Parts: sequence; C-alpha cells; structure tokens
Amino acid sequence: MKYFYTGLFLIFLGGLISIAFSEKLKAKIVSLFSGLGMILVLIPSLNVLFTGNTISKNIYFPEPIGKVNFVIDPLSAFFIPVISVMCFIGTIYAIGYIKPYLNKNKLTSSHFFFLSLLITSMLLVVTVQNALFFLIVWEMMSLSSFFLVIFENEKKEVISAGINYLITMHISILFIIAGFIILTLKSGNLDFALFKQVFELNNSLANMIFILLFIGFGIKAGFVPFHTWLPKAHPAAPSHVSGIMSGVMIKTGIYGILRILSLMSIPSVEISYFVLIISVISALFGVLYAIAQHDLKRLLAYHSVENIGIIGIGIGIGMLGLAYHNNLMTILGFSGGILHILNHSIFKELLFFGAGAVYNKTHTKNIEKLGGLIKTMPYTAAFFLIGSVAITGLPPLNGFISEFLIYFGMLHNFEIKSPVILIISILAIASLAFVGTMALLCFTKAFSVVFLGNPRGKEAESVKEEVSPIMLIPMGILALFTFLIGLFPQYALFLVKNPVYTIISMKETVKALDCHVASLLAMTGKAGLCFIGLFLLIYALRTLLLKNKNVCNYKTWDCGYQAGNNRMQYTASSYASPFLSFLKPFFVKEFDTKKPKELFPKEAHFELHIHDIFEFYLINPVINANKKFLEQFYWIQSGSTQQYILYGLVFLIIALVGTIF
Amino acid sequence: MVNMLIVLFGLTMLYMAATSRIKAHIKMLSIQGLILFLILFLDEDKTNLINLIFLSIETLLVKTILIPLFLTRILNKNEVFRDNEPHIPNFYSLVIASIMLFAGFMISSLHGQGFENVTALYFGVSISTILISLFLITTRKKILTHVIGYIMMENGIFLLSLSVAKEMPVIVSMGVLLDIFIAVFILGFLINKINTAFDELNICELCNLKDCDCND
Amino acid sequence: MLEILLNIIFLLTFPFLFIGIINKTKAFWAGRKGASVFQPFYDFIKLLKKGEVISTTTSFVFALSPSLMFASVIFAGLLVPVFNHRAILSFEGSFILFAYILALGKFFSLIAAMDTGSSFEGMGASREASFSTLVEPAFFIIMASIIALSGNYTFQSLSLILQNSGSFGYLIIILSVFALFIMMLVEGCRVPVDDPNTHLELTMIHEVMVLDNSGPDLAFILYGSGMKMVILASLIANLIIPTGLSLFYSVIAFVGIIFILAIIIGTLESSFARLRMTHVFEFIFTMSSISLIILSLTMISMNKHGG
Repeated sequence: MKYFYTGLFLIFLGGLISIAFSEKLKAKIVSLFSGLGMILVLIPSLNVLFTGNTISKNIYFPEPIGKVNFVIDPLSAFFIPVISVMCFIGTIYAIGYIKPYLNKNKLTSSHFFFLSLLITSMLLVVTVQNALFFLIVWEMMSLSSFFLVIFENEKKEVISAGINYLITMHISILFIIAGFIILTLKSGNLDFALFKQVFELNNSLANMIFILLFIGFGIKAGFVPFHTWLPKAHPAAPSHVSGIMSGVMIKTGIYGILRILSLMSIPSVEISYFVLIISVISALFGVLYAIAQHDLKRLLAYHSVENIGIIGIGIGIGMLGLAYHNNLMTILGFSGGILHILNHSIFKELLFFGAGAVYNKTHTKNIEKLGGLIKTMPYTAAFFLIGSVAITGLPPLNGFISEFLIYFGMLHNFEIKSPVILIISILAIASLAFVGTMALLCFTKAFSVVFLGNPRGKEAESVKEEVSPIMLIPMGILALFTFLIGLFPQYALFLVKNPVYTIISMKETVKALDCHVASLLAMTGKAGLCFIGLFLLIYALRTLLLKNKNVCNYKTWDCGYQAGNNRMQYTASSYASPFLSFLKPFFVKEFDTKKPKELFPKEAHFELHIHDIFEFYLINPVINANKKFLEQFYWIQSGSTQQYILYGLVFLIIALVGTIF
Repeated sequence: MVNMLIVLFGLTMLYMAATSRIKAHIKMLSIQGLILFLILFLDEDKTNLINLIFLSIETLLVKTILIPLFLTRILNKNEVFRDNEPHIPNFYSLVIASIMLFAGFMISSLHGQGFENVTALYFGVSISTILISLFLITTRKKILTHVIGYIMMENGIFLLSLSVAKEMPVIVSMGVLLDIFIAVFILGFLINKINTAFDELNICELCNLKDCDCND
Repeated sequence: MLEILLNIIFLLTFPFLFIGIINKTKAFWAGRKGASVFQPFYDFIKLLKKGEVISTTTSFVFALSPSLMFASVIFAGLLVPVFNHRAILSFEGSFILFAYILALGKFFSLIAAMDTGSSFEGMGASREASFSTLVEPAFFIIMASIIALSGNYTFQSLSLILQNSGSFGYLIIILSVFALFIMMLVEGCRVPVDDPNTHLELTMIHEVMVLDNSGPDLAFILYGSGMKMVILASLIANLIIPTGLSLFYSVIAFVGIIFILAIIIGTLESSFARLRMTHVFEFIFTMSSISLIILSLTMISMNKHGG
C-alpha cells in the first residue's frame, strides 16, 4: 500500500512543482512525474489483479469523515492500471499538443496542475470505500476536469459547454448523494463493506437504491438520456483532455455501477432488464447520431456514448445471468463488459489523439473541409485507420474480442428456457449487429473524408508536414496495444478474471468454466494471426505478379470531364445520406436557408443543424420553463447597493419581530 | 403444409404494405383466397359435407375469382392504376407491417396457453392481418385501396374462424360474405357516382362534405 | 483429410464456374450461345498477366485493400461448412467471426473506393454501406434463431434444425433459404439489387467501386466476389442437405444445389429489372421481416417443445 500512496503523491507533486517551472518544461515535468507515479502505482495493483488478494489500509480522518478504508481489491486493481497508463500516455501527447498554444503565449500552469489533480482524484475514486470521502474525491474529479475543459476560454462556446458540463455533473452527484444517504441511514455507517447488509435485507429498497445510484453514475458515464453533456464537452476540450476524459473518466461512472453490483449479491430480474434496455438504446442512439455529425470530435464523443452502451449491454447480460443463475452467461457478460472498458479506452484515446493531430495542423474540426491528409500525414492516418478498425469491432483487433464475448454471452441465454429471454436476447444480438454495421458506415465516412481523396478546402491544402514525433509515439503505443489484445486475447482474460469474481462472489462454481472461455478466445487469437498471415501471403503474391509489369500512374477516371475540381468529391453528408434517409423520424432538423432569387442570384446559403432529439424534447423544455419561471424574479437583482441594504434591514426587522412569537 | 400456407398468407400482407400498385393488391387478394381454399381442404375433418361445399364455393369462387374480377373492372373503367403517395412512405409502412406481424406472433404465443382450440400460428397471423389492414386503410389515400383493405380484414377474420378447431361456425362465414357483398356492391354503384361528381377518387376531396368550414 | 482437400479444391475452383453458369443462363434466355462456362477463369488469368494503372490520388490504402478483401473472403470460406457439414475451421460462435471478417473486407473495399477521390466511387461506397446495415442484423437474427432451435453453437446447427423442432422445422428451413438467397443477391451484387452489366456509372453500386482497379487487383476482386457468392450458396446448401449421407452423395447433392442456385440467379437476372433505388431498400428489408418471422416461429416451436 505504501507504493500506492507514494505513487499518488508523486503524481500530485508533479502538478504542483510544474507551476514553478517555465512554460516549455511544464508538460514534461508533469509527464515525468506521472510516469514515475504510474510505475509505483502499478506494482501493488498488478499484484492484486493477478493473484486475487485484497490490500487495504485504514486511515483515520477527523469527524465527520471518520475511518476511511483504502482498499485495492481486484475490481479497483483493474481500473488502476487503466487510469494510470492511459493518463500517462495522455501527458506524453500533451507535450506535443500544447506547443502551438505556448507559441501564442497562453498560460498553462493551472491547466497542468489540474491535470495531475484529475489523475490523482481518479485513482482515489477507485480505491476509497467510505461514502463521504468518496463524494469528496468525486467532486474533486469533476471540478478539475471542468477546469481542464475550459482551457480555450477565449471562445464562447467552450465556456458554455464547460458550464453545461459542470451543472450536469452536479446533478449526477445529487443522485449519488441521495443513494448514499439511504444506504448510510439503513446501515448506520459510512463504510461500503457494511452496505452489503442493506442490499440483502429488502428487495424493493435495494432496487430503488440501485436505480438512484445508476442514474447518478450513468450521467457521468454517458448513458442515454443523460448523455447530453458529452457531445458538448468533449469537442470543447483540448485533445489530450478529451482523450483522457473519454477514455478514462467516464469509466469511473461504470466503476461506480460495478462497485454497487459487487455489494448486491443477486440483482433482481427487472433491474437487469432495465440496465440492458437502457444500454441497447444508448448504443443504437449514440452511433446513429455519430453518423450525422460533421465535427470530428463530436462524432467521436457520440461514439463514446455508443461504446458505453456496449459496456452496459455486457453488464446487463451478466446481471441477467446472476438473476437466472446461469454461470457461463454471467462470466461472459461481465468479462465482455469489463474487457470492453480497457479496449475502449485504448482505441478512443488513439482516435482522439489522431483527431487532435489533425486539428493541430489544420485548425478546423469540420471534416467537410478536409481530405487528402494521408499524403502529408501518413503516420497519423495509419494510426487513425487502426483505431477505426478497432472501434468498429473488426477482427483481428481488440474491439472484436470484447464484442465476441458479449455476443457469446447472449447466445448462452438460450439455455434459460423462457420465451421472453429468447426474444430479448435475439433482439439484443440484432441491435448489437446493427450498431456494428452503423459504426462501420460512420468510420469509413470519417476516415475517408478526412484522410483520403483530395483536399476539399484550403485548410487541408495548407498542411505541409506530419506532426512531431512526440505526438506520434503515444498513438503508436496504443495501436500496438490494440494488436496485442486482439491477437493474444487469452492473456487479456487473465486481466479480467479476478475483477469478475469480485462481482459474482461464487468463485468455485465458475472457475471451471474459465478454461472453456479461454480456449475459445485462444482460437479467435489464432484465427487472427492466421488471417494476417494469409493477407501477407496474398500481398506478396500481388507484388510478385507486378514485378516486371508496366505500372503507370494516371489521374482518377473522371468520365472525360475536363474541369473537375476537388469540391466534386463525395462529401461526408452525401456519404451518410442514403442511410439517414430512412431514419428521418429520429432527427430534429433545423434548416437555415436563403434560397437564390431572381435571375442572377447574388448570394444564397444553406445550413442544416441536427439537434439531439433527447436534448430537444426532454431537456430544453425543462430549461426553458425554468428560465421563464425565474425571469419573474429578475427584479430582485437591481444592482443598487441601497436596495440590498434595504433587504438586510427588512430581514433584521422580521427576525426581531419573529422572536416575540 | 398448413403452417407453410399460413406463413405465406402473412407474407402476402407484407407485400401489400410495401407496394402501391392497385393491380398488385388485387392479385394478392386472389392469392389469399386461394390460400384460404387450400387451408380449408387440408383441414377438412372439421365440417360436414354441405358446410364444406358452401365454404369452398365462398372462398374459391367469391374470394379468388369474382371479387378480384369485379375490382379489376372498376379499376379499368376509372383508370386508376396507382395509389398516390401515402401518408407514410412505403419503406416505413413495410417496417411497421413487419413489426405488427412480429407483435401478432408474440402476443399469440405468450397468451396462447389458455386457448386449447387455437394454434398460436393461426391466431398470430389473423390478428396481424386485421391490424395491418386497418393500418393500410389509415395511411392510404384512394377509396379503392380502402375497400381492398376492408376485404383483407374480412379474410383475416375468416382465417381466425377457420382455426377454431371443433366447429366451423357457418354464421360467421355467412356474415363475412354478406359484409363483402355489401361493400363491393356499394363500392361498385357509388364509384360511378363519385367519379362523376368529383374528378378523382382521392378521399381528401371528401373532406369538403363537412358542414362547417374546414381549415385544410 | 480427403474432405479438407475436396473442400479447398471446391473453394478455389467453384467461383469461376458459378459466375460462368450465371452468364451462360443469361445467354440462354437471351437466345444467344454465350461465352464458355470457363470464361471467368480465362479472364482471371488474363488480368493476372497485366500491369496496373494506379491513380495519383490514391495512397497505400488503395494498394492494400484488394489483397485484404480477398484474404478476408478466403478466410470466411474456411469457416463455412461444405461437404458433409464439416468446415475446415469450426468452433463455437464461428458465425460471429464469419460475419465480422466479411465486414472487415467490406470496410477496406469502402475506403479504397473513397480513396480515389472520385464521386462515382463515393456514390457506390455509400450505397453499399447502407445496404449492409440492413443485411447484417437480419443474418444475426436468423443464425441466432437456428442456434436456439438446434442447441449447437457452431455452423453445424444449420443441419440440426429438423431434429428439435418437428413440423415447424421445414417451414423455418424454407424461410431461411429464402432470406439467405436475398442476402446472396445483395452481397454478390446481382439483380434486383445491382446490375452487373450496366455501363452507366450513376446506376452502378459494386461495379463503380472498382472502377479504378486494374490488373491483378481487379482479378482478386472479381475472384473474391465470386467466392463470396459461393460461400453464401454453400450455407443455403447446408440447410437443404440432410445429415447422414455418405461423402459421395453429399458431394453430388452439394454441387447440384450450387448449380441450381446459379441457374436461378441467371434466370432472375434475365426476367427482372433492377429496382428503383428506394425500392431496393424495401426489398432488402424483406430479409429482416422474414428473419423476424423466423424468430417468432422459433419462439412458438420452443414453447411447444421445450417450454
């Protein structure tokens, strides 16, 4: 445990010290210290992860916090490497990303301080087991991420996105507080371990607590309909922060849900269906809206919603397995969900870093103005391609492995001979397949419009060279991880085994089924290797065939048209439009058109905004009604000091008169 | 074999939802009549001879031959060949029709344990036929399509009555026949009148028959 | 051992025969004599001997994709059961790997099409992508229902349907054959989804995606699409052929069914025109409707027999 505390302290120290150094060195100091901290933190957590033991230590804080239990059990031990390694890679990337801002003389000391504070608080969130201290650390995490999001605070939309994020986080913490209050009252103590008894006592109360905490953690994670902050905050933040937030921070919401599940021994059937249905809706909705976006980072943010939905499907399947006492299904569902947490953080960070590299060079996030970047930025394009193939869940990369586990869990549903389960699981399989093909459409669109073809605007034409290697190295490391987990998945199962056991708490019976799953994954890994071998063979054959032949370069076939220009290429909106045309009811479209008039029109313009349907129909009316109600009270804030003193005088008189009665 | 015919019946409903050519609708009507006739024949242990002859005349003659012939004559006389763009585009009505078919099956199998006399498959397809034909009536715009939808609904009720295993209620079949005759005859006589009063057979024009001022 | 050898020979030679038979049937209906049945094979050899013209707009993606697509189709062929219901590589849940490997090939063919920077290819790519979104969920529903019925998680379940389901079994087989046939039409880009003989770029879907490919790359792509059709045809054949036949009869039945499917596709191509683009989506959606019917039949059948 000592290592853990030292590591934590080192990371925090890095942020603190960096204030004292010059601008150029700040990022390097932070990443150096977080690297050292990461190594120290990894030692106990990897130990716990592979052996299954638990380390804990109590520290006594002054009242009312009381005794705080710092526990590293296998569930936390899974999250600690994910958080520390991914954040460390993020800080390396930040060194390169922050350079253009330094050239513009932007002050970054607070930014790096809050970055290390964020990493520290995330590590604390997954180890603390005292309700009040958990809330304190959670709030610290939300606040530090807020300050990171509003880095470019000279832009108005960044600030409004940041404030939206802050308010949503506080609504989430309200729900969490409500849940914890009920638990503390019923169990009489702030310690997580003692909450177990509350769940065992009363079933309907347990369900209600679970729903409250699920909503609270779900807002953080980004389940639909609580996801509206995600597509605003992630594009507004600088890319290394978006990568860390999307890759790691939203997973702390999932951690909260899993922690509650580990305290509940057997969830009820209704709760499991609830989780499954919300996750399916999140997955479908997230990828659907991702297809309609033209801002690269907003597209990636909606994909985070989709992948959180997939993780939720895995967790829901696991919960159903627990409720119906089907062991294989439980293992498969939870392993798939937890492994997808790791996989998603890897490829989402990779994609955000790629998008950040593109933004770094072209200063625009609008993909309709980009194109042809693969010639000037080949490495970024290659890494982005690997990330796209991984997020679509295609073999032989890592996305396929976790989706395979989840599919397989749903297939084993059929052993429960109930027609309702049959229908729901087959429809869930179909939805997951639908999500997969929609993700394929979305990422072929994103990758090809940004990198392939010809530049569609001068922003893309002005790119002359690749980004600096310091930004390429993190992407390369992450791409390597995707290949490793995809080709050797049976080892990835080792990482996931013990955390799943913490949730199931029926160790002996499920251990035997482990070999079955491991051998299946080994087969998938071998298949991946076999496929890569086959591909290399055929490519070698092709190169051999072309050796002595005439290979000439010519321009693309344009049907003989002489005056083609780059704007005639297929755009992103046209690529997505056949698909979107048959899903029209799900979008709220706002057209902003000025049609050309008269014979020689001077100007015309056309703009299409697609509003998020949940935001438009659920949240905006509430906000507008609230605003209308509060507008009645604007007269209170008049700005005149004398009126305020009048208020004070009136209050004093009322208080004095009140004491008479 | 009977199961195959019933599923084929369901598939004809889906085809009807997807197309807007009235000739195709009429062809489907005669195919449905033929299917009902074949189902009748393969399940023949339920009735006595006179009943059987009456029902086979009803299905084979009336549903498969007479009514489609009559409708085709009206079609050619009024030169109506296609339905206008329906309220809901064809793709969505196909999706909704499939969902209704699926829902019909689900409802029938989940509640079907109580019904000894009815097989789940019969019940599912008949309920979905009734639902889909009502849906088609709501979303299409020409009168001819409405009457075709109505006749399809009667086909669905007929199928349901075929499936009640022990007895074949002759009263139900006679009632269905009466309904169809009235509908088709009224259609036949009125179509001519409507055609001379208004120039086309679009029901939107019928809104003008309202007493008060309509906004639309 | 003999089976694996026959399997590989089948996979490598039949794509040419399949396309050759389709073309011969079309010629027959048109009153022509038509090219020889082995013509696709001669075309393949001819293309292999040629050089290539590579567009200046493209990048390494364009060079890699045909080989990758071809590798993915061959690999999918290894997973599919051929003679006597045995696949070369078979394990539980292999249909998921099958579908996703084909999707990997499709991913790379889509980006290769967009790589050329031409609006023709982009149009074909976007249409192809939206077709596949309708096909995959239906395929998964069908396979999952069949797996639920037969209780076996590999592709063997295709042949085990009749054992567990009684009277509904035949119905489910017929409906699955019909749905997989529609899938074959979509993946192989045949009428009424896409016309392989059209020369108008605005109406092409798959043909236009490979407009800029030439030489060995084009050879691989043509071979690959033929192989994809043969793979899906062998899934259909697996549904129809009963278990327990000896190897000799199984080979004959298998080859016979594949020929019949080729003749049916040729006849369809001669009798129908390609549907209007909006109607194509409805046609593909029928596959999903049929898969929903299969799902409900599975549910009814499991209610009756398993409870």
